[in-house]
This record gives sequence, C-alpha cells and structure tokens, in this order.
Amino acid sequence: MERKGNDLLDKLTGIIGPLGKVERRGPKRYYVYTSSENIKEIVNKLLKELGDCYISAITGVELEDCFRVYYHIWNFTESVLLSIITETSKEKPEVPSLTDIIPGAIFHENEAYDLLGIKFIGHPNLRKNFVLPDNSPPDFFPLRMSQSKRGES
Amino acid sequence: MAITILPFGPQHPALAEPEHFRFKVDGEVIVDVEVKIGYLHRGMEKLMSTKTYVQNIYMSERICGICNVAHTTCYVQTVESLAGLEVPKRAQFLRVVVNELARIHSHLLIIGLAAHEVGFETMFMWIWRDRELVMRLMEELTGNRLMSAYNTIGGVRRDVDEKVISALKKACTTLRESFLQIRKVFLEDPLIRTRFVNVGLLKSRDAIARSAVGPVARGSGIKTDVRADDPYQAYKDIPINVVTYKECDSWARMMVRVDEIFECLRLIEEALENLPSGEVRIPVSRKMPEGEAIGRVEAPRGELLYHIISKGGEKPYRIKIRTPTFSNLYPIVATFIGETIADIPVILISIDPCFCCTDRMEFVDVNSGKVWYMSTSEIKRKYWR
Repeated sequence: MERKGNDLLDKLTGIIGPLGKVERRGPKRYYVYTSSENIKEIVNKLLKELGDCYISAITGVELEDCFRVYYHIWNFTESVLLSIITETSKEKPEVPSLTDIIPGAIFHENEAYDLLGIKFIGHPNLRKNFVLPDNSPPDFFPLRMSQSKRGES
Repeated sequence: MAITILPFGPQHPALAEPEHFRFKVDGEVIVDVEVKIGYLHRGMEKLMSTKTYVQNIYMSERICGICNVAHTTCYVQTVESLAGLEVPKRAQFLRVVVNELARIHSHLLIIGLAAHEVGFETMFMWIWRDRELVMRLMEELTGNRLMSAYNTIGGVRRDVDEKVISALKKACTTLRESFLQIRKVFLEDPLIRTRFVNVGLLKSRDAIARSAVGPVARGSGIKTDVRADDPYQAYKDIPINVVTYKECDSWARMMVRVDEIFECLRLIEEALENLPSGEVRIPVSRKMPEGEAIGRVEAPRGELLYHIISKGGEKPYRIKIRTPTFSNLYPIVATFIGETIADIPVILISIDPCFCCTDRMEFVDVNSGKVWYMSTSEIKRKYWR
C-alpha cells in the first residue's frame, strides 16, 4: 500500500516537473505547491496525463501575510485528491480561474470571491453577493480576519 | 413569441426549501435560467472558527437536518485525522450502520417527494409509512429520531445491545420487502415513467466537466462513490457495490437512489453481523495539533468535503465545508434548457436539493417589471405594526 503511494508520488512529480512541488499528505491526499501563473498548465497536464478530473472544492484562507487558495481536484483514474495550493498577495488578491478547463469550478470560485474577495481572473461571471444577501456592501468580505464576528469591521 | 421571465421560488411548490430560479421561457419552453442561491447562508464557516472543536460537532450537525449524520461523520473524521487518532473498530462499524440508516431515511424522503411531485399521493404515503419505521430505528440506535448526536470525536456516544441489533435486523427484512414493491412501481408504472424518463438529460461528459457528485453523477453512468473510491470508517472492511445507471435522465437519478436503499440494507446487515467487540469511544484531548486535514464522506446527496486548517489550540483556524448540492446545482442548471415549465419540479427533485432557511424576499412590480429585494427586518419595519 505504502509502496504504491510512493509510486504515485513519483508519477505526479514526473507529470508536474519543475512547475510545482508535490507532497504526500496521507492516503489519497496529495498537495501540489505552486505559484499562481503555473496552475492552469498543471491542471491541463494532469487532465492530459491522468485522465478525467472534477473539481471538488476551492478553499480560500487568509493567513498573516497572504491569501492561500486550495483547488481540490479529484482524479477518477488514480482515485486521488490533489490539492493545488497557491498564494497571492493581500493588496491585490488575484488567481487564475479554472472555468475554461473545468467548467464546474464556476460556483466554487464565485463563492470564494464573495466571501474572501479573491479575484479569479478569467471567470465569466464573477459577481458579488453570490451567496451573501443582496444588500450587503461591495467591500464586505466576511471570511477576512479584519471582519469581526458580527460582520462589522 | 417574446421571451417571458418566470420567477420560480424562493417559495415554490416543488420544495419546502428556499431557492430562487429565474427561468426565461419562450411559450412553454425554457431557454435560459439564472440561479440565486444564498437564502440559506448562515455564516457557518465563520462561526465555526470561533467555537471549540467539541462545540463544532453540534454546529456541523445543524448545517443540515437530513444529512446530519453525514456532516458529523465527516467533521469528526477530519478532526481525528488532524489529531492522528485511530477510532475503535466497533465505533467504525456503528458509524457505518448509522450512516446507512440516515441514507435510507434521506432517499425515502426524496423518493416520496418525487412521487408527491408527479401526483402519486398513494406512493408518497406508502413511503412515509416505511420512513416512520426507519426513524424509530434511528431512535433506538441513537436516542433521537432525526438529530442523532451520535458521532463524537474519538468514537460514538452510545453502544448497541442485542435488543437493538435484533430490532435492526428484523426491520431490514421488513423494509426490503416493501422496497421491492416501490422498485417495481418505479420500473413499471406509466405515470412515473411518463414524467421521469428522458426528462432533464445530463450526459456523462457534461456531468464530469461540470463536476457533478453522488447520485446525479451515478445516474449519468459515472462510477463514483466516496465509500468505494476513498473508503473511510468501516467501509474499508465492507466493500460496496456502486449503483450506476446509463440513462442520464431524471428517472436514472431516482433509480440510483431506489437501488442504493437495497445496498444500504445489505451494508447494515453486514456491519451488524461482523460487529467487533470492544470500546466505542476513546478519550481525546480538547486541544488539536497544528496542521491540516481533508475529510470526504459520501452523504446521501453526494460527496461532502471538510477541510480543516488548525494553528493549534482549542479552536480551528478555518473550516471549509463543501456540501453536495452546491456541486450539483451547476450541472443541473444546464439540463433545464429545452425542457418545458411542467418539468421544472421533476428535474429539481431529481438532484435531491437541500437548502435551508430564508432571510429575504423578492418583489416584482407586474406593470413595470421592476424587481427589488427587501430583508425580513425591512418588511417588519414597513408593514408589521
């Protein structure tokens, strides 16, 4: 079992190559650390080399000095969850959108934009107040640490 | 003919839950659809990062009443993997039993509602009769009919005795007989077939690209099930058969659920047959180490994902929750196009949608076509004396 895990790690490292760093986090859980300009290329390579994938979730989180975005992608052939991780600056949080490669990302990306204010470049219809009430202000991002528990900054 | 806008919901006949669809219709045919979600948004993710790990078990349980077992299972298993805990075998088997019981309950609910939606009230009542039996079993097993409060970090909160085991086994036999009848109706009844067959087609390619999960994906012939692909708890020891249908329509999605009920019954019987002896719960520290964990569970509606980021201490730093309906909504939106208005409830019910809690209303001025929104508090201020 463990040996198979290492084989897969080698295979993933081979596919992704110098574009990112692959790390095994447990059975069927792999992290891929990369910078935001390489994400699309990595997903395209994974789709080509590994076969069908679907987007399981997108986690956005605010850390002390940056925003971190996780694209959780499940691969059907290898039965493995790949979390592609990238970081973006607090001043200008922008990451590429995966909607042209995996259309299913559309709602996940919009939710992350609505709650955290991370812009997904290339998203066809990125709108504020996707899940929030329509009368919430345009600069209100509840999951940012600057927002207090009650939602008043 | 001119395009007409037909607002559907948040209060609509198909569901007792709020969701707003705006259909653009050309006569009877739908040409476009817009979705407004968020009537359910209660800020759970934010709130959970302000509570302790133990309090969050009860928070996660209250995200959804019907999938409460799936939510707590996913939450506690993510926390356990964060802490590197191995849960006792007996607890793992009991978690399978309670998960499958909840799945039967949820599937029965939606099959019953589907029958109700097409005007088959008799079947709706038959199913309600069986659902009552399942809820009584749930009470015997967990102490509650619906909100089970059964899972906890490190195990389950109640053990089973011989009396409960024999009641569960006996009920499995009874339920199997009545489900055979329901299956026969779904396969043969002209009313069901007329309303469900070839309605809301979602091709396999579209289902993958649009990231459908659970019975919606399986109804489009995709062999995906977290219990089989990424086994958790005792699913590692009890292999499951993934039910798929190739028809890709609303009927296939309902048939996946009908057939899964039999699979659930088999899993319950097998788990009880092989129930290991020993503890059902181990003591756990209130503080969790620094790190991250991702948990996946097959909820009745599809894959449920929890992602917990911890910076150490008693409270999580961030919890990301991705519920199955959130993933299934986008794939299903495309299937509306080209269908007629009368098919809207059927297609919607075939994804088994799950939304909660309204907070707002939409107003349409019929003469000018102007649309505006008001919050509940505004309505209270303006109209309630």
